[in-house]
Amino acid sequence: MDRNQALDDLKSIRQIMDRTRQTSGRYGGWFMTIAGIMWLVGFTGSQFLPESCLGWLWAVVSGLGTLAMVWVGTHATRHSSVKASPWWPFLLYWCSLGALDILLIWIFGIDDSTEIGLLILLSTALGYVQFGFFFHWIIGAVGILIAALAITAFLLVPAYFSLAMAILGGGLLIASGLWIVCSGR
Amino acid sequence: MSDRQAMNDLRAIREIMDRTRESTSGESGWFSVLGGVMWLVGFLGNQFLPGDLPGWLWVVVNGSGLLLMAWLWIRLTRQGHVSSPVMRSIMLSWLALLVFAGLLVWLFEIHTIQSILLVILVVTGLGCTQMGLLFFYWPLCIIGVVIAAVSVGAFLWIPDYFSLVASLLGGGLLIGNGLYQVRSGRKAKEAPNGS
Repeated sequence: MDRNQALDDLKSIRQIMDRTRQTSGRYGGWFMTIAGIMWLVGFTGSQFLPESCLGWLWAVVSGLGTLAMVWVGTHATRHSSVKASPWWPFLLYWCSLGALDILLIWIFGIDDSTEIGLLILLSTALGYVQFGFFFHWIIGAVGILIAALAITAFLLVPAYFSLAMAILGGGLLIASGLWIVCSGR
Repeated sequence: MSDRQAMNDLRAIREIMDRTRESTSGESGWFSVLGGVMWLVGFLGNQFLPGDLPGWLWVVVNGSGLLLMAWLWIRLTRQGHVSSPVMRSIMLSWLALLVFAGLLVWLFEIHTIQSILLVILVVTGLGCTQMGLLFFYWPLCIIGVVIAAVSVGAFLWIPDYFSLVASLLGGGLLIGNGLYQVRSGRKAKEAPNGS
């Protein structure tokens, strides 16, 4: 591949990415906003509700959040009219992170709810950072901030870890998601 | 964005991807081969060398492996094979995985060598799976899942031979995948319509 051909290809990719970002950015932002609301509700509950209710709370929050995300995804696909949108590799990508968490919890016998929360937050942050490298630096920056907040809260204020993640982590996701939605418009 | 515009964009992306794959895949396979050799030698040392020697072997293997990768990177960049933004993103993504593994070891106080190696292996398996998913390269996905599954199996059921299994399996898969990529790349170039 010669230099001119590579430069032409890069120019084409940039134009396509700009168009796609304008079209799809809004939907990516809605995904982040929904995830933020899930965190806000789930972690606030983790801080104040008794242990016995937490399983149910997270099941309801995750179920409703997933339904909302599927609805947004379906709406996005319908709206853009591109039927062959490859959404499932991204779903499997996030499932692989979830599988890693389950594997580590099982192998190392992690049973403390704060430690489990930290593990999930770190793997979520990893997903955001990696997506940021490939798609948009803002997503990566949000991932790094989430990881930094989670580690700081875990080390310095472990008793208020869930509350910190609800307000700071959830708030960060909601704010950045809404920012992406607005800039997409 | 209209249907027609979207289809034109998709066609353009596919053509660019085909050209890029033809020009890069063969050569970038050497990174996989090199990683596999490092993995093979390092874990064999873990299995068979006594005392502190495995630790020193890893220092030598990692140091020389990274130098060789840097040399390979510079060589391929000069030839115009790998200087793409995508390649940079892949490298940064692996760096993020490395930091993630380090954080796990630190925050969850994972102390034993076997456990640390398991974390590295499982995270490497995750990385291979993710890259395979992002680039629709299924052999890499399968390699990732196999690395993670066999590592966990060996760790739980045959801990005495954990390093040997990790060495032969992980190293072998990475070397095999790399050589397959190099061979496919050369075949594509030798084909009548190759670039």
